[in-house]
Amino acid sequence: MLRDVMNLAWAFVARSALTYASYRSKLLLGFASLILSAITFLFVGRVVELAGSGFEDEVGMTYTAFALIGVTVHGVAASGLHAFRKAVRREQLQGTFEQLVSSGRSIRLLVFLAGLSETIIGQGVVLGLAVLILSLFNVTIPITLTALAAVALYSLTVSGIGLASAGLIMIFKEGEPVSWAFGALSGLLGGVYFPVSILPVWLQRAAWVFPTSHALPVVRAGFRGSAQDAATATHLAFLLASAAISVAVGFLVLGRACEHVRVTGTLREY
Amino acid sequence: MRAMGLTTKIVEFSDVGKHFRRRGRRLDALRDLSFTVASGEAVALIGPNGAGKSTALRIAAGLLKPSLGRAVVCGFNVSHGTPRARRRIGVSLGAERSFYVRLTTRMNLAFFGRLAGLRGRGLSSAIDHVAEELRLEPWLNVRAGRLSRGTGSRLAVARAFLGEPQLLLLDEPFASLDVLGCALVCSAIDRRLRDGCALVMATHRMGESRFCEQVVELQPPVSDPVPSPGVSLQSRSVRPQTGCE
Repeated sequence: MLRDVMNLAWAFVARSALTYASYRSKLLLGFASLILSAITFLFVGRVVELAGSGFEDEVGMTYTAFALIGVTVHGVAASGLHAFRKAVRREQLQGTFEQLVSSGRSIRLLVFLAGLSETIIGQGVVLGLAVLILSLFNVTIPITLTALAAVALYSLTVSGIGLASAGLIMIFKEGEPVSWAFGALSGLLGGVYFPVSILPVWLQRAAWVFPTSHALPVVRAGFRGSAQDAATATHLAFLLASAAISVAVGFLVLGRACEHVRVTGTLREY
Repeated sequence: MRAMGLTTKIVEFSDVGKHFRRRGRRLDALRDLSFTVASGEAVALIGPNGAGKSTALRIAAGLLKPSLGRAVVCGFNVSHGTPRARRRIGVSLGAERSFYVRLTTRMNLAFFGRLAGLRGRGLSSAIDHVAEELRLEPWLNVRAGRLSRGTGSRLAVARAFLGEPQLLLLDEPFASLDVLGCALVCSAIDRRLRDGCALVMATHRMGESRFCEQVVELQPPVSDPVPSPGVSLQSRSVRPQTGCE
Protein backbone atom coordinates (compact mmCIF):
# COMPACT_ATOMS: atom_id res chain seq x y z
CA MET A 1 0.00 0.00 0.00
CA LEU A 2 2.70 2.49 1.05
CA ARG A 3 4.88 1.40 -1.85
CA ASP A 4 1.98 1.93 -4.21
CA VAL A 5 1.35 5.45 -2.88
CA MET A 6 5.08 6.23 -3.10
CA ASN A 7 5.07 5.03 -6.72
CA LEU A 8 2.13 7.32 -7.42
CA ALA A 9 3.76 10.23 -5.60
CA TRP A 10 6.91 9.74 -7.67
CA ALA A 11 4.81 9.73 -10.87
CA PHE A 12 3.31 13.10 -9.95
CA VAL A 13 6.58 14.68 -8.80
CA ALA A 14 8.39 13.53 -11.96
CA ARG A 15 5.56 14.79 -14.12
CA SER A 16 5.50 18.20 -12.37
CA ALA A 17 9.28 18.58 -12.51
CA LEU A 18 9.43 17.66 -16.21
CA THR A 19 6.59 20.02 -17.04
CA TYR A 20 8.09 22.81 -14.91
CA ALA A 21 11.49 22.37 -16.54
CA SER A 22 9.94 22.48 -20.01
CA TYR A 23 8.86 26.08 -19.38
CA ARG A 24 12.36 27.58 -19.15
CA SER A 25 11.32 31.24 -19.36
CA LYS A 26 8.83 30.74 -16.53
CA LEU A 27 11.61 29.32 -14.37
CA LEU A 28 13.93 32.24 -15.16
CA LEU A 29 11.25 34.89 -14.61
CA GLY A 30 10.30 33.28 -11.30
CA PHE A 31 13.92 33.58 -10.15
CA ALA A 32 14.13 37.17 -11.36
CA SER A 33 10.94 38.32 -9.64
CA LEU A 34 12.01 36.79 -6.30
CA ILE A 35 15.42 38.44 -6.44
CA LEU A 36 13.80 41.77 -7.28
CA SER A 37 11.36 41.52 -4.39
CA ALA A 38 14.22 40.65 -2.02
CA ILE A 39 16.19 43.70 -3.19
CA THR A 40 13.06 45.82 -2.68
CA PHE A 41 12.86 44.66 0.94
CA LEU A 42 16.54 45.44 1.39
CA PHE A 43 15.97 49.08 0.38
CA VAL A 44 12.73 49.37 2.36
CA GLY A 45 14.72 48.09 5.35
CA ARG A 46 17.34 50.79 4.79
CA VAL A 47 14.63 53.46 4.70
CA VAL A 48 13.22 52.15 7.97
CA GLU A 49 16.72 52.27 9.51
CA LEU A 50 17.37 55.78 8.14
CA ALA A 51 14.08 56.99 9.58
CA GLY A 52 15.47 56.00 12.97
CA SER A 53 12.27 54.24 13.86
CA GLY A 54 13.93 52.03 16.46
CA PHE A 55 12.52 48.98 14.67
CA GLU A 56 15.58 46.86 15.43
CA ASP A 57 15.50 47.80 19.14
CA GLU A 58 11.80 47.08 19.29
CA VAL A 59 11.68 43.79 17.35
CA GLY A 60 15.20 42.49 17.83
CA MET A 61 16.19 42.28 14.15
CA THR A 62 16.55 44.51 11.10
CA TYR A 63 13.47 45.18 9.01
CA THR A 64 15.07 43.41 6.04
CA ALA A 65 15.54 40.20 8.04
CA PHE A 66 12.04 40.57 9.55
CA ALA A 67 10.35 40.97 6.17
CA LEU A 68 12.45 38.32 4.40
CA ILE A 69 11.61 35.73 7.06
CA GLY A 70 7.94 36.70 6.82
CA VAL A 71 7.84 36.55 3.04
CA THR A 72 9.82 33.29 2.83
CA VAL A 73 7.81 31.37 5.44
CA HIS A 74 4.54 32.76 4.13
CA GLY A 75 5.63 31.99 0.55
CA VAL A 76 6.47 28.39 1.40
CA ALA A 77 3.08 27.87 2.99
CA ALA A 78 1.22 29.86 0.35
CA SER A 79 2.42 27.47 -2.32
CA GLY A 80 0.51 24.78 -0.38
CA LEU A 81 -2.54 27.05 -0.27
CA HIS A 82 -2.74 27.46 -4.02
CA ALA A 83 -1.12 24.24 -5.26
CA PHE A 84 -4.15 21.93 -4.88
CA ARG A 85 -6.56 24.37 -6.46
CA LYS A 86 -4.14 25.10 -9.29
CA ALA A 87 -3.58 21.38 -9.82
CA VAL A 88 -7.31 20.74 -10.25
CA ARG A 89 -7.69 23.75 -12.51
CA ARG A 90 -4.69 22.81 -14.65
CA GLU A 91 -5.91 19.24 -15.10
CA GLN A 92 -9.35 20.55 -16.10
CA LEU A 93 -7.87 23.04 -18.57
CA GLN A 94 -5.62 20.37 -20.07
CA GLY A 95 -8.56 17.97 -20.31
CA THR A 96 -6.73 15.34 -18.28
CA PHE A 97 -8.82 15.50 -15.11
CA GLU A 98 -11.39 12.92 -16.22
CA GLN A 99 -8.62 10.63 -17.39
CA LEU A 100 -6.92 10.91 -13.99
CA VAL A 101 -10.13 10.19 -12.11
CA SER A 102 -10.97 7.25 -14.34
CA SER A 103 -7.62 5.69 -13.40
CA GLY A 104 -9.28 4.10 -10.42
CA ARG A 105 -7.54 6.06 -7.73
CA SER A 106 -9.39 8.04 -5.13
CA ILE A 107 -9.96 11.60 -6.36
CA ARG A 108 -8.82 12.86 -2.96
CA LEU A 109 -5.53 11.00 -3.29
CA LEU A 110 -5.04 12.24 -6.85
CA VAL A 111 -5.73 15.87 -5.97
CA PHE A 112 -3.54 15.56 -2.89
CA LEU A 113 -0.62 14.10 -4.85
CA ALA A 114 -1.05 16.50 -7.76
CA GLY A 115 -1.01 19.44 -5.34
CA LEU A 116 1.78 17.96 -3.25
CA SER A 117 4.02 17.60 -6.28
CA GLU A 118 3.31 21.22 -7.20
CA THR A 119 4.07 22.21 -3.59
CA ILE A 120 7.33 20.28 -3.52
CA ILE A 121 8.45 21.88 -6.77
CA GLY A 122 7.16 25.32 -5.71
CA GLN A 123 8.63 25.13 -2.20
CA GLY A 124 11.91 23.73 -3.49
CA VAL A 125 12.28 26.75 -5.77
CA VAL A 126 11.24 29.23 -3.04
CA LEU A 127 13.52 27.67 -0.44
CA GLY A 128 16.46 27.39 -2.82
CA LEU A 129 16.09 31.01 -3.79
CA ALA A 130 15.66 32.11 -0.20
CA VAL A 131 18.91 30.41 0.80
CA LEU A 132 20.66 31.97 -2.18
CA ILE A 133 19.33 35.47 -1.49
CA LEU A 134 19.95 35.33 2.25
CA SER A 135 23.53 34.21 1.67
CA LEU A 136 23.99 37.06 -0.83
CA PHE A 137 23.00 39.51 1.90
CA ASN A 138 25.04 37.68 4.53
CA VAL A 139 21.89 36.88 6.46
CA THR A 140 21.99 33.52 8.19
CA ILE A 141 18.99 31.96 9.84
CA PRO A 142 19.81 29.70 12.76
CA ILE A 143 17.39 26.87 12.05
CA THR A 144 15.96 25.47 15.24
CA LEU A 145 13.80 22.40 15.68
CA THR A 146 10.92 24.48 16.97
CA ALA A 147 11.16 26.77 13.94
CA LEU A 148 11.10 23.76 11.61
CA ALA A 149 8.13 22.31 13.49
CA ALA A 150 6.31 25.64 13.24
CA VAL A 151 6.91 25.87 9.48
CA ALA A 152 5.83 22.24 8.97
CA LEU A 153 2.63 22.66 10.99
CA TYR A 154 1.89 25.98 9.34
CA SER A 155 2.35 24.39 5.91
CA LEU A 156 0.03 21.54 6.90
CA THR A 157 -2.63 23.97 8.10
CA VAL A 158 -2.44 25.97 4.92
CA SER A 159 -2.43 22.78 2.83
CA GLY A 160 -5.68 21.72 4.53
CA ILE A 161 -7.21 25.04 3.50
CA GLY A 162 -5.74 24.43 0.03
CA LEU A 163 -7.47 21.02 -0.18
CA ALA A 164 -10.81 22.60 0.73
CA SER A 165 -10.11 25.29 -1.84
CA ALA A 166 -9.46 22.59 -4.49
CA GLY A 167 -12.83 21.05 -3.69
CA LEU A 168 -14.58 24.41 -3.92
CA ILE A 169 -12.94 25.28 -7.25
CA MET A 170 -14.57 22.15 -8.69
CA ILE A 171 -17.93 23.64 -7.76
CA PHE A 172 -17.38 27.39 -8.26
CA LYS A 173 -14.92 27.02 -11.20
CA GLU A 174 -13.82 30.66 -10.83
CA GLY A 175 -13.75 33.01 -7.87
CA GLU A 176 -13.11 30.42 -5.17
CA PRO A 177 -13.43 32.44 -1.93
CA VAL A 178 -11.51 30.43 0.71
CA SER A 179 -7.96 30.75 -0.60
CA TRP A 180 -8.62 34.35 -1.60
CA ALA A 181 -9.77 35.25 1.92
CA PHE A 182 -6.92 33.41 3.60
CA GLY A 183 -4.25 34.74 1.25
CA ALA A 184 -5.41 38.34 1.44
CA LEU A 185 -6.08 38.45 5.18
CA SER A 186 -3.01 36.55 6.35
CA GLY A 187 -0.83 39.08 4.51
CA LEU A 188 -2.56 41.88 6.40
CA LEU A 189 -3.03 40.22 9.79
CA GLY A 190 -0.36 37.53 9.91
CA GLY A 191 2.66 39.68 10.69
CA VAL A 192 4.36 39.01 7.37
CA TYR A 193 5.45 42.58 6.58
CA PHE A 194 5.07 44.25 9.99
CA PRO A 195 4.67 43.11 13.58
CA VAL A 196 1.12 42.28 14.65
CA SER A 197 1.69 44.45 17.72
CA ILE A 198 1.34 47.65 15.67
CA LEU A 199 -2.23 46.73 14.67
CA PRO A 200 -5.20 48.13 16.62
CA VAL A 201 -6.19 45.89 19.52
CA TRP A 202 -9.35 44.58 17.82
CA LEU A 203 -7.37 43.61 14.73
CA GLN A 204 -4.73 41.94 16.91
CA ARG A 205 -7.53 39.74 18.28
CA ALA A 206 -8.60 38.86 14.73
CA ALA A 207 -4.96 38.15 13.84
CA TRP A 208 -4.78 35.56 16.60
CA VAL A 209 -6.92 33.11 14.58
CA PHE A 210 -4.49 33.16 11.66
CA PRO A 211 -1.84 30.43 11.80
CA THR A 212 0.59 32.85 10.14
CA SER A 213 0.70 34.98 13.27
CA HIS A 214 1.62 31.86 15.30
CA ALA A 215 4.25 30.44 12.93
CA LEU A 216 6.23 33.60 12.24
CA PRO A 217 6.95 34.55 15.89
CA VAL A 218 8.44 31.07 16.48
CA VAL A 219 10.70 31.32 13.40
CA ARG A 220 11.76 34.88 14.28
CA ALA A 221 12.45 33.87 17.88
CA GLY A 222 14.76 31.17 16.51
CA PHE A 223 16.49 33.82 14.38
CA ARG A 224 17.01 36.05 17.40
CA GLY A 225 18.25 33.09 19.41
CA SER A 226 15.57 33.71 22.04
CA ALA A 227 14.99 31.03 24.61
CA GLN A 228 11.90 28.86 24.13
CA ASP A 229 9.18 30.07 26.43
CA ALA A 230 5.52 29.48 27.19
CA ALA A 231 4.54 31.66 24.22
CA THR A 232 6.41 29.34 21.84
CA ALA A 233 4.63 26.31 23.32
CA THR A 234 1.27 28.07 22.94
CA HIS A 235 2.02 28.94 19.32
CA LEU A 236 3.04 25.34 18.54
CA ALA A 237 -0.04 23.92 20.27
CA PHE A 238 -2.25 26.26 18.25
CA LEU A 239 -0.51 25.24 15.02
CA LEU A 240 -0.84 21.52 15.87
CA ALA A 241 -4.58 21.84 16.52
CA SER A 242 -5.16 24.02 13.46
CA ALA A 243 -3.21 21.59 11.24
CA ALA A 244 -5.27 18.60 12.44
CA ILE A 245 -8.59 20.41 12.00
CA SER A 246 -7.65 22.00 8.71
CA VAL A 247 -6.44 18.80 7.02
CA ALA A 248 -9.51 16.85 8.20
CA VAL A 249 -11.90 19.57 7.00
CA GLY A 250 -9.92 19.94 3.76
CA PHE A 251 -10.31 16.25 2.87
CA LEU A 252 -13.98 16.32 3.91
CA VAL A 253 -14.78 19.31 1.67
CA LEU A 254 -12.81 17.78 -1.20
CA GLY A 255 -14.70 14.48 -0.87
CA ARG A 256 -18.08 16.24 -0.82
CA ALA A 257 -17.12 18.33 -3.83
CA CYS A 258 -16.09 15.21 -5.77
CA GLU A 259 -19.45 13.64 -5.03
CA HIS A 260 -21.21 16.85 -6.09
CA VAL A 261 -19.50 16.97 -9.49
CA ARG A 262 -20.25 13.30 -10.10
CA VAL A 263 -23.92 14.11 -9.68
CA THR A 264 -23.95 17.36 -11.64
CA GLY A 265 -21.64 16.05 -14.35
CA THR A 266 -19.33 19.05 -14.10
CA LEU A 267 -16.09 17.20 -13.40
CA ARG A 268 -14.45 18.46 -16.58
CA GLU A 269 -16.06 21.90 -16.63
CA TYR A 270 -13.95 24.89 -15.75
CA MET B 1 -13.01 -17.19 -30.93
CA ARG B 2 -13.52 -15.92 -27.44
CA ALA B 3 -11.97 -17.29 -24.26
CA MET B 4 -13.61 -20.58 -23.37
CA GLY B 5 -14.89 -21.49 -19.95
CA LEU B 6 -16.91 -19.60 -17.36
CA THR B 7 -17.79 -16.06 -18.29
CA THR B 8 -18.18 -13.42 -15.63
CA LYS B 9 -20.56 -10.51 -15.89
CA ILE B 10 -18.37 -7.44 -16.08
CA VAL B 11 -21.01 -4.79 -16.72
CA GLU B 12 -24.67 -4.83 -15.71
CA PHE B 13 -26.79 -1.80 -16.54
CA SER B 14 -30.42 -2.03 -15.38
CA ASP B 15 -32.71 0.83 -16.43
CA VAL B 16 -29.90 3.31 -15.98
CA GLY B 17 -30.83 6.94 -16.54
CA LYS B 18 -29.09 10.23 -16.09
CA HIS B 19 -30.56 13.69 -15.96
CA PHE B 20 -29.10 17.04 -15.07
CA ARG B 21 -30.67 20.12 -13.56
CA ARG B 22 -29.91 23.30 -15.43
CA ARG B 23 -31.64 26.47 -14.19
CA GLY B 24 -34.48 24.48 -12.71
CA ARG B 25 -35.05 22.47 -15.89
CA ARG B 26 -34.52 18.77 -16.08
CA LEU B 27 -32.38 17.70 -18.99
CA ASP B 28 -32.33 14.00 -19.76
CA ALA B 29 -29.00 12.74 -21.00
CA LEU B 30 -29.76 9.02 -20.87
CA ARG B 31 -32.91 7.05 -20.28
CA ASP B 32 -33.58 3.42 -19.31
CA LEU B 33 -30.43 1.82 -20.60
CA SER B 34 -30.08 -1.89 -19.88
CA PHE B 35 -27.43 -4.29 -21.08
CA THR B 36 -24.92 -6.76 -19.73
CA VAL B 37 -21.42 -7.57 -20.87
CA ALA B 38 -19.55 -10.70 -19.87
CA SER B 39 -15.82 -11.23 -19.98
CA GLY B 40 -14.61 -11.61 -23.55
CA GLU B 41 -17.71 -9.91 -24.95
CA ALA B 42 -18.01 -6.65 -26.82
CA VAL B 43 -20.93 -4.24 -26.85
CA ALA B 44 -21.32 -1.25 -29.12
CA LEU B 45 -23.43 1.69 -28.04
CA ILE B 46 -24.69 3.22 -31.23
CA GLY B 47 -26.67 6.35 -31.78
CA PRO B 48 -26.60 9.89 -33.08
CA ASN B 49 -24.99 12.80 -31.26
CA GLY B 50 -26.71 13.47 -27.96
CA ALA B 51 -28.06 9.95 -27.61
CA GLY B 52 -26.20 9.42 -24.36
CA LYS B 53 -23.41 7.09 -25.48
CA SER B 54 -20.63 9.05 -23.78
CA THR B 55 -22.83 9.56 -20.72
CA ALA B 56 -23.26 5.79 -20.46
CA LEU B 57 -19.50 5.28 -20.74
CA ARG B 58 -18.86 7.95 -18.09
CA ILE B 59 -21.31 6.24 -15.76
CA ALA B 60 -19.55 2.90 -16.31
CA ALA B 61 -16.20 4.61 -15.67
CA GLY B 62 -17.52 5.99 -12.37
CA LEU B 63 -17.18 9.59 -13.51
CA LEU B 64 -20.92 10.20 -13.31
CA LYS B 65 -23.43 9.03 -10.78
CA PRO B 66 -26.57 7.58 -12.39
CA SER B 67 -29.81 9.36 -11.50
CA LEU B 68 -31.89 6.22 -11.97
CA GLY B 69 -31.34 2.50 -12.21
CA ARG B 70 -28.44 0.33 -11.20
CA ALA B 71 -25.03 0.12 -12.79
CA VAL B 72 -22.64 -2.58 -11.62
CA VAL B 73 -19.13 -2.69 -13.07
CA CYS B 74 -16.59 -5.36 -12.14
CA GLY B 75 -18.82 -6.33 -9.23
CA PHE B 76 -19.07 -2.82 -7.79
CA ASN B 77 -22.07 -0.53 -7.83
CA VAL B 78 -20.81 2.63 -9.52
CA SER B 79 -23.26 4.79 -7.55
CA HIS B 80 -21.00 4.30 -4.57
CA GLY B 81 -18.06 5.69 -6.53
CA THR B 82 -15.79 2.77 -5.76
CA PRO B 83 -12.32 3.48 -7.15
CA ARG B 84 -11.49 -0.24 -6.89
CA ALA B 85 -13.83 -1.03 -9.77
CA ARG B 86 -12.28 1.72 -11.85
CA ARG B 87 -8.82 0.23 -11.42
CA ARG B 88 -9.94 -2.72 -13.52
CA ILE B 89 -11.07 -0.51 -16.35
CA GLY B 90 -9.13 0.91 -19.26
CA VAL B 91 -10.76 4.12 -20.37
CA SER B 92 -10.41 6.23 -23.46
CA LEU B 93 -12.87 9.10 -23.58
CA GLY B 94 -11.46 10.69 -26.69
CA ALA B 95 -7.94 11.61 -27.66
CA GLU B 96 -8.25 15.35 -27.90
CA ARG B 97 -6.93 17.25 -24.91
CA SER B 98 -6.43 14.31 -22.60
CA PHE B 99 -2.62 14.23 -22.52
CA TYR B 100 0.13 16.32 -20.99
CA VAL B 101 1.14 18.14 -24.12
CA ARG B 102 4.55 19.22 -22.77
CA LEU B 103 5.52 15.63 -22.03
CA THR B 104 6.55 13.06 -24.60
CA THR B 105 4.43 10.08 -25.60
CA ARG B 106 6.60 7.81 -23.45
CA MET B 107 6.35 10.12 -20.43
CA ASN B 108 2.57 10.25 -20.80
CA LEU B 109 2.34 6.48 -21.02
CA ALA B 110 4.71 6.12 -18.05
CA PHE B 111 2.63 8.50 -15.94
CA PHE B 112 -0.70 6.83 -16.70
CA GLY B 113 0.93 3.40 -16.43
CA ARG B 114 2.02 4.22 -12.88
CA LEU B 115 -1.55 5.28 -12.13
CA ALA B 116 -2.61 1.87 -13.39
CA GLY B 117 -0.29 0.29 -10.82
CA LEU B 118 2.67 -0.54 -13.07
CA ARG B 119 6.26 0.22 -12.16
CA GLY B 120 9.84 -0.65 -12.98
CA ARG B 121 10.45 -3.17 -15.73
CA GLY B 122 6.77 -4.10 -15.89
CA LEU B 123 5.97 -0.51 -16.79
CA SER B 124 8.71 -0.27 -19.42
CA SER B 125 7.74 -3.54 -21.09
CA ALA B 126 4.03 -2.60 -21.05
CA ILE B 127 4.85 0.71 -22.74
CA ASP B 128 7.07 -0.98 -25.32
CA HIS B 129 4.39 -3.61 -25.96
CA VAL B 130 1.50 -1.18 -26.60
CA ALA B 131 3.79 1.11 -28.58
CA GLU B 132 4.77 -1.78 -30.83
CA GLU B 133 1.20 -3.04 -31.09
CA LEU B 134 -0.13 0.34 -32.19
CA ARG B 135 3.02 1.41 -34.04
CA LEU B 136 3.77 4.32 -31.77
CA GLU B 137 7.52 3.70 -31.47
CA PRO B 138 8.54 6.55 -33.79
CA TRP B 139 6.61 8.97 -31.59
CA LEU B 140 7.68 7.77 -28.17
CA ASN B 141 10.10 10.66 -27.71
CA VAL B 142 7.88 13.29 -29.33
CA ARG B 143 5.82 15.65 -27.21
CA ALA B 144 2.16 14.64 -27.11
CA GLY B 145 1.16 18.12 -28.20
CA ARG B 146 2.96 17.61 -31.51
CA LEU B 147 1.22 14.38 -32.47
CA SER B 148 -1.24 14.24 -35.34
CA ARG B 149 -4.86 13.62 -34.43
CA GLY B 150 -4.75 10.03 -35.65
CA THR B 151 -1.59 9.25 -33.68
CA GLY B 152 -3.18 10.87 -30.65
CA SER B 153 -6.18 8.55 -31.06
CA ARG B 154 -3.88 5.52 -31.11
CA LEU B 155 -2.07 6.85 -28.06
CA ALA B 156 -5.39 7.20 -26.23
CA VAL B 157 -6.22 3.57 -26.97
CA ALA B 158 -2.69 2.49 -25.98
CA ARG B 159 -3.11 4.26 -22.65
CA ALA B 160 -6.39 2.39 -22.03
CA PHE B 161 -4.56 -0.93 -22.57
CA LEU B 162 -1.97 -0.30 -19.84
CA GLY B 163 -2.39 -2.45 -16.75
CA GLU B 164 -4.24 -5.30 -18.49
CA PRO B 165 -7.77 -4.08 -17.67
CA GLN B 166 -10.76 -6.42 -17.34
CA LEU B 167 -12.96 -3.93 -19.14
CA LEU B 168 -12.29 -1.44 -21.91
CA LEU B 169 -14.49 1.63 -22.24
CA LEU B 170 -13.72 3.29 -25.54
CA ASP B 171 -15.45 6.39 -26.85
CA GLU B 172 -15.17 6.63 -30.63
CA PRO B 173 -11.88 4.66 -30.73
CA PHE B 174 -11.70 4.82 -34.53
CA ALA B 175 -12.26 8.55 -34.81
CA SER B 176 -9.53 10.26 -36.86
CA LEU B 177 -7.87 6.95 -37.72
CA ASP B 178 -6.77 6.03 -41.23
CA VAL B 179 -7.23 2.51 -42.61
CA LEU B 180 -3.97 1.23 -41.13
CA GLY B 181 -4.65 2.82 -37.74
CA CYS B 182 -8.14 1.37 -37.71
CA ALA B 183 -6.78 -2.11 -38.49
CA LEU B 184 -4.14 -1.82 -35.75
CA VAL B 185 -6.68 -0.77 -33.13
CA CYS B 186 -9.11 -3.48 -34.25
CA SER B 187 -6.47 -6.20 -33.98
CA ALA B 188 -5.31 -4.95 -30.59
CA ILE B 189 -8.88 -4.89 -29.25
CA ASP B 190 -9.58 -8.32 -30.67
CA ARG B 191 -6.50 -9.79 -28.95
CA ARG B 192 -7.74 -8.45 -25.62
CA LEU B 193 -11.25 -9.79 -26.20
CA ARG B 194 -9.76 -13.22 -26.83
CA ASP B 195 -7.87 -12.90 -23.55
CA GLY B 196 -11.16 -12.38 -21.74
CA CYS B 197 -11.31 -8.61 -21.56
CA ALA B 198 -14.76 -7.06 -22.04
CA LEU B 199 -15.44 -4.05 -24.24
CA VAL B 200 -18.06 -1.32 -24.26
CA MET B 201 -17.58 1.00 -27.18
CA ALA B 202 -19.45 4.10 -28.24
CA THR B 203 -19.77 4.99 -31.88
CA HIS B 204 -22.21 6.56 -34.25
CA ARG B 205 -21.12 4.44 -37.18
CA MET B 206 -22.64 0.99 -37.51
CA GLY B 207 -19.67 -0.29 -39.53
CA GLU B 208 -17.33 0.19 -36.57
CA SER B 209 -19.35 -2.18 -34.41
CA ARG B 210 -18.95 -5.24 -36.58
CA PHE B 211 -16.83 -7.19 -34.10
CA CYS B 212 -19.31 -6.62 -31.25
CA GLU B 213 -21.73 -9.36 -30.20
CA GLN B 214 -24.29 -6.83 -29.06
CA VAL B 215 -25.29 -3.52 -30.52
CA VAL B 216 -27.32 -1.25 -28.28
CA GLU B 217 -29.05 1.49 -30.20
CA LEU B 218 -29.73 4.71 -28.37
CA GLN B 219 -31.87 7.62 -29.42
CA PRO B 220 -31.59 11.09 -27.92
CA PRO B 221 -33.90 11.26 -24.91
CA VAL B 222 -36.63 13.87 -25.05
CA SER B 223 -36.45 16.24 -22.11
CA ASP B 224 -40.11 16.41 -21.24
CA PRO B 225 -41.88 14.74 -18.35
CA VAL B 226 -44.06 12.58 -20.64
CA PRO B 227 -42.30 9.50 -22.00
CA SER B 228 -42.07 9.93 -25.72
CA PRO B 229 -42.91 7.05 -28.05
CA GLY B 230 -40.04 8.27 -30.20
CA VAL B 231 -37.53 7.12 -27.61
CA SER B 232 -36.37 3.75 -28.68
CA LEU B 233 -33.85 1.50 -27.15
CA GLN B 234 -33.03 -1.75 -28.75
CA SER B 235 -30.51 -4.39 -28.14
CA ARG B 236 -29.78 -6.93 -30.80
CA SER B 237 -27.31 -9.68 -31.24
CA VAL B 238 -25.08 -9.72 -34.23
CA ARG B 239 -22.58 -12.18 -35.49
CA PRO B 240 -19.22 -10.86 -34.41
CA GLN B 241 -16.59 -10.28 -37.01
CA THR B 242 -13.04 -9.42 -36.30
CA GLY B 243 -11.00 -6.74 -37.96
CA CYS B 244 -11.98 -3.58 -39.75
CA GLU B 245 -13.04 -3.36 -43.31
